[in-house]
Amino acid sequence: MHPLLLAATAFVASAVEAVEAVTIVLAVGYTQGWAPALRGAAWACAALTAIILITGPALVHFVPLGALQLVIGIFLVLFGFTWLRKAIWRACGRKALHDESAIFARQVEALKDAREQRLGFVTSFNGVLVEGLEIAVIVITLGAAATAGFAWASIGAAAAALVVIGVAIVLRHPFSRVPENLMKFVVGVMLISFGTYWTGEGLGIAWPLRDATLLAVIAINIVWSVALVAWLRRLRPLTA
Amino acid sequence: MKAAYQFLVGSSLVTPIGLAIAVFVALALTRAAPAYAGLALIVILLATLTFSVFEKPN
Repeated sequence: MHPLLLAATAFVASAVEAVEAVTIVLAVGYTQGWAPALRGAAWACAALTAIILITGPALVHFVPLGALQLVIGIFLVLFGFTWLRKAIWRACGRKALHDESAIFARQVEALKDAREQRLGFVTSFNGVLVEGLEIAVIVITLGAAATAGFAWASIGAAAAALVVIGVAIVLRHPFSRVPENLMKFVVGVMLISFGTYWTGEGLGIAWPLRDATLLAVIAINIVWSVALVAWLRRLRPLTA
Repeated sequence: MKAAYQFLVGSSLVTPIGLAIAVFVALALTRAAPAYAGLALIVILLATLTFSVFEKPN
């Protein structure tokens, strides 16, 4: 394989994975704050670096990617359910939009915030770790295809990561104007969708559209969740 | 143990049960009927979400 073609292949394949990782970090950043989001991403990068330095090209054989996807997929589904349920309740009036309005509620919220900060950290860490490992596997696999292939594949993957991170930084401000509950709704949908996809991958499911299946899962979850909000609004509101 | 459960699941009872069923059914289908495993996983998780929003808001 020509080195440039190799780098381009690594770029495209890595970009797909990088978009998924950055989406999760952005989602956590908007809803749980940038500190836990960036801390989780940084720790995941450190863990990735350590894993890659220790195992080297043997990473492909040592890391049980399927098992990791299954465990982290289940985590993401659980976290996603927690956030999406609350966003649905708030959207349909079964839960107050601002729990912190009363003093007691504010104290309760403070405790919840601490929990959600940890959730944010773990979610960001998991997302970056899984996608980073997938990028590492792509680089190692493509790198074995040609002489000096590892260097070219690494260049392609690094360029993809830089481009995706750059785009995310540019898009950060327009997204920050979206209402908080809508953002939590979207984040919940995204986490459940990623979690569903990865759980399936970990179980050995051959998704019919490969990575594009994720888009279909996101669309299905959005439509279903919006329908649930509409349905619950027709029932008697129960504000907690 | 309770703290770990709260951390992972919050206050929901439906979510872990639905997720366990979804994983179990999808795993079984990957061997028996692979074409339907993904669909089953998605549908059971949607049903889980539906039941879970009818739990008492916390």
